[in-house]
Amino acid sequence: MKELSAKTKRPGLGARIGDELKRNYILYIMAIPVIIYFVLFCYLPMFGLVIAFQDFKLARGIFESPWAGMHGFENFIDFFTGKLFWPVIKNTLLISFYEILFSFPAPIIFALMLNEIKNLKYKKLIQTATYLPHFISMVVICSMIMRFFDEDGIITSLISLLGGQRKNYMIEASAFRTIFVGSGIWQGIGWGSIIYISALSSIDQELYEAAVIDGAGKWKQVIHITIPGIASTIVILFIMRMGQVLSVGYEKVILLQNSYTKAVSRVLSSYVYERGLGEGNDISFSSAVGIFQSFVNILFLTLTNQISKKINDTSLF
Amino acid sequence: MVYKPSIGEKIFNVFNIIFMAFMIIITIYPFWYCITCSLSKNIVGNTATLMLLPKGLDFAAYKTVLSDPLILNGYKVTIFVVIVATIVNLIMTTIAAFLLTRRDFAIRGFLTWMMLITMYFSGGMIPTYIIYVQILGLENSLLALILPGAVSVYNMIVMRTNFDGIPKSLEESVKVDGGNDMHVLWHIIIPLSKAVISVMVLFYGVGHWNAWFNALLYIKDRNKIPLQLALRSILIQEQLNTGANAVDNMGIAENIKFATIIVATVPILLVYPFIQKYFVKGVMIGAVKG
Amino acid sequence: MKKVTKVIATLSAVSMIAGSLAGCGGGKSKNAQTDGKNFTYWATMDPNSSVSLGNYNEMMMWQELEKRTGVHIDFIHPIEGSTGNEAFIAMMSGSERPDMIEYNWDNYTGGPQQALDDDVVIALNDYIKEYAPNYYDYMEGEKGKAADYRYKLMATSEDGSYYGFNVLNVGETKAFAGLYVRGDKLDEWGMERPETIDEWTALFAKAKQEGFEKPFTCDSGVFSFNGAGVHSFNTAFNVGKGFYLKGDKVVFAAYEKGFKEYIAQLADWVKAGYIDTGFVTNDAAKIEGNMANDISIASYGYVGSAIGKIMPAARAKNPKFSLVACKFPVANKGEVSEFQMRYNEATSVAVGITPECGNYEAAISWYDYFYGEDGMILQLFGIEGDTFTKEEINGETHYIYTDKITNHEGLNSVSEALYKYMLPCNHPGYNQHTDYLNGYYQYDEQKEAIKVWNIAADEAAKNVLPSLSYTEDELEVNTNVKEVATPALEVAMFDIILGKKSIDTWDAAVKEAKANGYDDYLANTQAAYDRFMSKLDK
Repeated sequence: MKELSAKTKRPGLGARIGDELKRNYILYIMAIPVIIYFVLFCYLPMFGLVIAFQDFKLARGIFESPWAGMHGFENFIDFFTGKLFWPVIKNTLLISFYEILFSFPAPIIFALMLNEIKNLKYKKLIQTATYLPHFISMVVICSMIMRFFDEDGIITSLISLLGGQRKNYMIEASAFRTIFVGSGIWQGIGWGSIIYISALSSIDQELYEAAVIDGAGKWKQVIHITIPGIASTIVILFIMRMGQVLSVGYEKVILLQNSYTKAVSRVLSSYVYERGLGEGNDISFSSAVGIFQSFVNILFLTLTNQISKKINDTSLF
Repeated sequence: MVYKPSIGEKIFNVFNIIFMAFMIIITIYPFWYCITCSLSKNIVGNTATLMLLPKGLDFAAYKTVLSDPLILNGYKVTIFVVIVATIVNLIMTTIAAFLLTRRDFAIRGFLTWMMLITMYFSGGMIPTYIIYVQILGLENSLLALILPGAVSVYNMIVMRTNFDGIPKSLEESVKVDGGNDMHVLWHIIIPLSKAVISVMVLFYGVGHWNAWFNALLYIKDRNKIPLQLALRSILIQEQLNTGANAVDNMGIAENIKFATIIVATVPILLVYPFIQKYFVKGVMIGAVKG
Repeated sequence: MKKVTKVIATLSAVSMIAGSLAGCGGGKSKNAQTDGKNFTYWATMDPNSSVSLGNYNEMMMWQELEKRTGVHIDFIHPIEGSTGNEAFIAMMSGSERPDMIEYNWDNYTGGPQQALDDDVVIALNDYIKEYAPNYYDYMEGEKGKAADYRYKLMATSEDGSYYGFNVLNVGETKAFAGLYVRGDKLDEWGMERPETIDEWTALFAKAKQEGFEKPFTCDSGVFSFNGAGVHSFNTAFNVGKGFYLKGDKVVFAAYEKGFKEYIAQLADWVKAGYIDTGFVTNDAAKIEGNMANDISIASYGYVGSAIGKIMPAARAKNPKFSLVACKFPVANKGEVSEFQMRYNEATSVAVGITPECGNYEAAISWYDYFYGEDGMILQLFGIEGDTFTKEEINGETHYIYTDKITNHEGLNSVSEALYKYMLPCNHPGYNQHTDYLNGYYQYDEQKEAIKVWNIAADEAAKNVLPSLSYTEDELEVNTNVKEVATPALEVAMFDIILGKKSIDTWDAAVKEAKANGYDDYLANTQAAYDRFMSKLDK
């Protein structure tokens, strides 16, 4: 920590730094393992980002691989000028948008509803049941989804019972996003609600008792006590979700897509996967895409954070 | 104090109970399906149907999975890793989150960014491998399954948000009594954060329970293979058996796939109720009053 | 970036196997100062082996080989549960490299040629004639000549270098998949296995009448123009799949006249209710369900993963249940289709020698043992009297596995028993001996299926494209075409089959595909094929 304080040392500040060290020496001691961890395990390997600017060859390693063409930017230029660049970005953002609109609030609403269940045993049962799909592998989940939505699938039957058309919904490009996002809610609602349920449990019960004395109904209690009680958790998680706006996983996309849905389902990650022909992936190209993705994500994160800071004074940093 | 619900609330309550029953049914189905498939005799030809009960009762798949010496040893390795790694995670994450709540800490901003950046940039698999093996010496060491990811920045932020919600007045009372930041953390923050700590135990614990990739890269000894990697080797066996090679394992392989999922999931599910109890009641009150 | 990148042509993408006995002569490998020499050998252990063995050093085959050659090998295996790729990357990024690497070199970014250029492995060209006479025989000697040098073509990189010892699919069995039908029902209804479109229609009509809801079930690949080698009813219209050869010309199935008739036929069948309209999204489990539960009468699939999987399961309910192979459909009864699945003579799974090895001659001559007759027997059948016995049947020598293998005592399956002692499949050397397949397949239906589906193996060699290498520019064009034009054309085709659009829309769809780059893709493939053939002239 000495180095750090030495760096920030400016004439006249010596006393203040001394004071800071004296006051917070315990915090500095606590920070040592954390900083060591991040430097060794995260920052040291980060020199590997150069791979994106290289024509990386496994046999040569990072130190001897040649630089990529066009001043090292060949991988980036390849990516930006690809015919599918814009469609892919559009698809990714659209799926992300629907997820933020529907998948993000779903566990919150679910947690609030669960909070109103009085029977403790029933409550526990619901919690345990709903988080089970989180543990089932994606391959199994996706084969179920395809089964449910094909021509004689159970959900298709339900739709036709309600007056909809009986058809194979898996080959309807217009249904893909709905199925993708909807099934995501199904699989993730329970697990995603854990964080909110824990936040709900931290709300001071006395507040409710006071509200009842004041004659507030359930609805008012929810609006004035429950939601404000978990608001900071919601906001922080929302900011972090915005920081993943370009990260839609490829596994589920690849498992669910077919010729009919390819045009709407191809997202950034599945595109990289396709480009790399699945197995022998082009490490430099995917690193370049990764860097681009990170920058866009950070941009959204920072923007959301600033907006949130202005509006409700809750922020990540 | 008796609270009298309005009619609207009563209707809502009934709806809520029914809705939740519906949720239970639809979310329990995939898991139940895996159980049925793993227990059915001759499930080939039946996995495509909506199975509600196992067809016949056949434990052969479980016998195969559980008789694999790698699996039994894998349980041992995994349990060890889960316990040790989760403790490391909790200590490191708590400290990191706590540091970021100290508003008068000069390097707080620096620390925040130092951690946030790692959420978005990493060296990628190969450079990480080189550093971990050649500089940190993690090859064939269980530490390779424990130390990387000691602090998940996402979890740390969740924790920090929770710490921030604890009233400052409680802290000051400790400081008035002459306590330092260590006392604040130990006597105020941690006791009041049982719920979020339980969430962390769950998130980290499940994460370590399910992890296999680092073991694949770093572990060389058979007796250090964690459960998930051992199970993966069973699943891969099925995967590789294609073409002319695909004949005889067929009958049982499907059951094994599902039995594997169950074997890998059930133990971690059993831990859940112990953690769950911290979510149910307002932990805060007890702690404050006590 | 390196100009030429090797890609797997669609056909060889599925290829891991094939083979039968082609009279392996061949002398003993020449022992060049190998005595007491040690090598390190990196390989992903076959999961069937790792059930009973901790390391290949414990395997009978390798122990016996050490006895016979005097060469000791220290095996290095990535940990169980790895598919090899990540493990390969870790091995390459580690500090020490082994002397020999067994790997599927198509998975190396840039393919085998790139692996040579990157000095991961050495080219064997200067050595094999002298130190690997058995392998040389397959490549450039008598056996190579007899096979039109196809082994060499498939087992060398773009510039003609040998990058290692490859898996050679020597035998007559080139196809492991085709159309199959419920044999027990045919007998019950007194029908013959259908050969022509009319016969298939009659069968479907009968099946529909007997309560089979969706007489024919399959997945999208079976119908699509894509997927070379996956033939179904297209053969009746004398049209192949994907890109294939007509003489020296590469043609694209969807451009052919017969293809439109084929689509029209499928559309007719859909209209009549004979085809499972879920084919676009069907997976293996769905097809198995349709077959096992009397929903469908016929489908397309593999000897092992379809016939060998569905039959035992369905027999639990219906002991008579049987699935028999059908010949690929023809226009007129009695004809034989020239199209069938056909695996390439060599796959890109190979043992490469690394620059670290040093004593190349010794290592090469050691591995060559597997390509001689003794080595072939050791690899496929093990040790006589222990794991196999020799029998004379009709004047031919056959190798029969002993009870030790067939009863697989203490193990779950024949595979696990086989792989405890030897590496009979997908290991560089002689692969897919008929006796191995017969020992391996349990049902007579399976043994018959490989015969039925292989009727045209020699004929098909004329129309099947070899595994081709494209230049990087070509590759970029091809990738773009596959990304956009392929799904579009497939949608157009499936729409017609499903009755959503009229057959008249097909020509426009093909025209659009041409404009969207299929013409370039076809031209690239022709160019790649011409390069391939010129390599042969050299």
